[in-house]
Amino acid sequence: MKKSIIIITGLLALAFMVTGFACADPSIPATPETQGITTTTSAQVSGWFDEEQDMSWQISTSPLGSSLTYPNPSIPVGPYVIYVPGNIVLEEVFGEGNTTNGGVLYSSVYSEQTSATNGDIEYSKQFSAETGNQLAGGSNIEAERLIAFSTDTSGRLVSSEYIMVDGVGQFSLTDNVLLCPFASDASDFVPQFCNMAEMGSDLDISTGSVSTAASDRFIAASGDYPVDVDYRIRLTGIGDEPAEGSVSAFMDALSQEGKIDVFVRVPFDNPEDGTLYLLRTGLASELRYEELSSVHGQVAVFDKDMHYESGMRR
Amino acid sequence: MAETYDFGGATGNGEYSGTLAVDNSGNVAFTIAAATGPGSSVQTTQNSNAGGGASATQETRAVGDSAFVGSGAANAHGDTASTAAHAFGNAEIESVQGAIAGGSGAAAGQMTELTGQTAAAGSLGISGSGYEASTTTRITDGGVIDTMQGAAAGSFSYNTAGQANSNTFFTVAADQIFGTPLVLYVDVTGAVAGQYSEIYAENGGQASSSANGNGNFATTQASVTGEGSIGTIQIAGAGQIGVEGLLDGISADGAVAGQFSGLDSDNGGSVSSRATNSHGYEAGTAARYYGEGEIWGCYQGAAAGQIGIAGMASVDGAAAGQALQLESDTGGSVSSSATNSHGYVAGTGARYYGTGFIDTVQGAAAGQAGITGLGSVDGAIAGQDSAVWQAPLTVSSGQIGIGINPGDAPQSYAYTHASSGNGYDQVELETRFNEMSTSTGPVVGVPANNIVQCAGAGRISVTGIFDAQGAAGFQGTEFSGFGLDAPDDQVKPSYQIVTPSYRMTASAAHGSTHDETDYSEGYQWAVAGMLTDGDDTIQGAAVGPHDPSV
Repeated sequence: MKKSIIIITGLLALAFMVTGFACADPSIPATPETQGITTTTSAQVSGWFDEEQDMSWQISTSPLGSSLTYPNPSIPVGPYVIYVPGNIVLEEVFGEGNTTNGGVLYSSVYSEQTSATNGDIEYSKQFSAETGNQLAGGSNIEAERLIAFSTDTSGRLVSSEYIMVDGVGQFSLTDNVLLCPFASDASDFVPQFCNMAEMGSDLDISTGSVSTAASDRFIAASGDYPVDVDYRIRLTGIGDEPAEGSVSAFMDALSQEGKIDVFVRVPFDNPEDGTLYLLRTGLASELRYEELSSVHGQVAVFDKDMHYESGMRR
Repeated sequence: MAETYDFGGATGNGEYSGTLAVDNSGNVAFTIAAATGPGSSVQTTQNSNAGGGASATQETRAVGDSAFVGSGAANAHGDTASTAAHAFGNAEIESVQGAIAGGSGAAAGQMTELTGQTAAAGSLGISGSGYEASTTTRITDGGVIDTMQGAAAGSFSYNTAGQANSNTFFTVAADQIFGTPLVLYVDVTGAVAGQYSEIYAENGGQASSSANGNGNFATTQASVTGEGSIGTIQIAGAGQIGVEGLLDGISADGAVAGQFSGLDSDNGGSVSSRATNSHGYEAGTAARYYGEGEIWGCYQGAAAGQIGIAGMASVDGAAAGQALQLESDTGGSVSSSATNSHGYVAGTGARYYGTGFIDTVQGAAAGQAGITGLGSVDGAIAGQDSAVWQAPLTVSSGQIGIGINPGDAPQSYAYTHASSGNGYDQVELETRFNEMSTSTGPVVGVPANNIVQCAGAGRISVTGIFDAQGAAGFQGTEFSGFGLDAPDDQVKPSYQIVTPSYRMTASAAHGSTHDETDYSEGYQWAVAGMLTDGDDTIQGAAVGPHDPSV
């Protein structure tokens, strides 16, 4: 077989920042009770190895399964929404089932399927899931893997890994969502949004050493930190020999950002009466992103680093 | 496309109803009403119109644990106006409201009666150019509010004597309280708010109006604490304002607030106005008492910016003034003061303790002030023309009045002072009713009429008479014969002034140089700094006249 060396080094940073309207993705605060899951896996095997992991997670400001509510108190009127934050009487009238901020729902999925047969495999993995609020640099889901595989026979290592964050939400007052006192200078409102980012890889090799790191962050006490999804994969050979097989890594993103037309803003004199906004909502931006990098053959290096972040302050 | 919408319904917690109008020029008007709690109801007739402007009106009765009735309007130029009322705790609101927006501005107004444990009604106008005016009336711990009020932003003219329309928020019905019909003419380019309100409160109550824009701020308020009631007409405006009727001939390019009020209470009361300009000039005027009492016939106002007063006076800075009568069983005071950004201060006040009354016209200004045909001050000036009367009090075991010891208790007095920015030049003038006792009986009285005091600090010019730099002032007092020399009066016994030489005092300080009077015969002056009348010059600190017998 003709020896071919394919080297792909990819570095992708996809940062959703669009001028003219505010990107949403304000994160979601943690539930009062939080969970932490941590696993560590280490194996050095000659023969057969199998690892399967699935995690799906939904968190919402409203009961799961219910529709996303407007911030309280809001009254849809024709193509408009009348929103009167701070009005104590209207807040009580519309209070049942509604929250101060617009309803937000985030979903996240992480999965891995790894199977190795007829070979020598070294596998180590650290995984953690933390449902509490995170600051910049922190992660809600984090997985790191180191895998080396070689075989003298027809053995194979097949592995796929996937991480996804999907956030949808109604509009909210910026000052209610972000702590930064200057955030509302750009926009009074965090508009409606519907954003999803997926990343992952597929691997099918007879020899090689691979490392992956996957993480996301979408739980935060305030919207001051952007939602993050990161994925990196690096495949190299063992010793002087290149890796052999095929590997691919992908990223898909769909970002739908809303806009809020503040038709009028009419404050009342007494604070207990609040401020009336006449709003018109709509879709302001739709961004689709797809990328797939694949190599097949003798691979000296395959390195791909992908980053997605979305938020009001970046 | 012009659109109108009606909306409403019931939730698990209450009812709501409203209407919305949007015209094709960006004018918006709305009404909204809501009530909460078991048995809550919103009975309303609401209308909205769009086309050549937007308007919305409602006639609403809202009853519940809490209730809210509000209306508002906005135009495409950013002029907004709103009016609203809310009540909490056995709430009941009956309200007629309207809001309108067009190319020249936006306006909203209401006629409302509120009942509740706490209740408030307010109106707010904000012009697209940043001028803001508001008015509010509020009760806590139970009570009733009757109010007619509104706010507007943009360019408007009001005439309360004209046909009532959505721009008319002030009423000729003032004579129901004050016995005097009130006709207001208001021209505004900016924002204006006003109210005619009656508050019946068992413990609390406040009515206030404020305006601001371009760094100028003016506010006026009436307040009671404890049992009491307020009847008030207030107006506040920011921008280019002209007012006739409340205080005749007021014009301001800045902010102005004023009121015509009556107030009584068993335990408290306060009427005050204050204004500041963008340079930090400040002027305020206040009347207050504690215990039983009453303030009536109170005209009060404050303005900041460039102010004209009935063609008689002009101020570029801040000014405040009041004319009122005040009566109380246990005390009372009136005061006015002004400060410029360099710390020049002028103030005037009158106070009594016990039963009595004050009838005063007083004011203060900071900045460049001119009085037509009289002179000018660049600094601060204050003055008053007052009558102070402390009613006869029973003397018992060395006490004058209840709890007032003649040896150390403050007595009734009127005072005026002025000082330069660093306090180097100061003058103070005071008429004090002190150390009074009877020759034959256990009763004293301290009446005085026509206390005229004035003091200024800075550069002072009295046309054709003198120019001064520093601080200068004068006072003249006429004591009433009543109670002082009526030995044959069987009702009011005769009196003897034990220390008459201290009835009037004047002092001046120029640095470490100090002078003060030792004699008074009804007129005194004080100068600190330098004064020249063309022939003579006074430099340092001097007061007069001095005792001719010395």
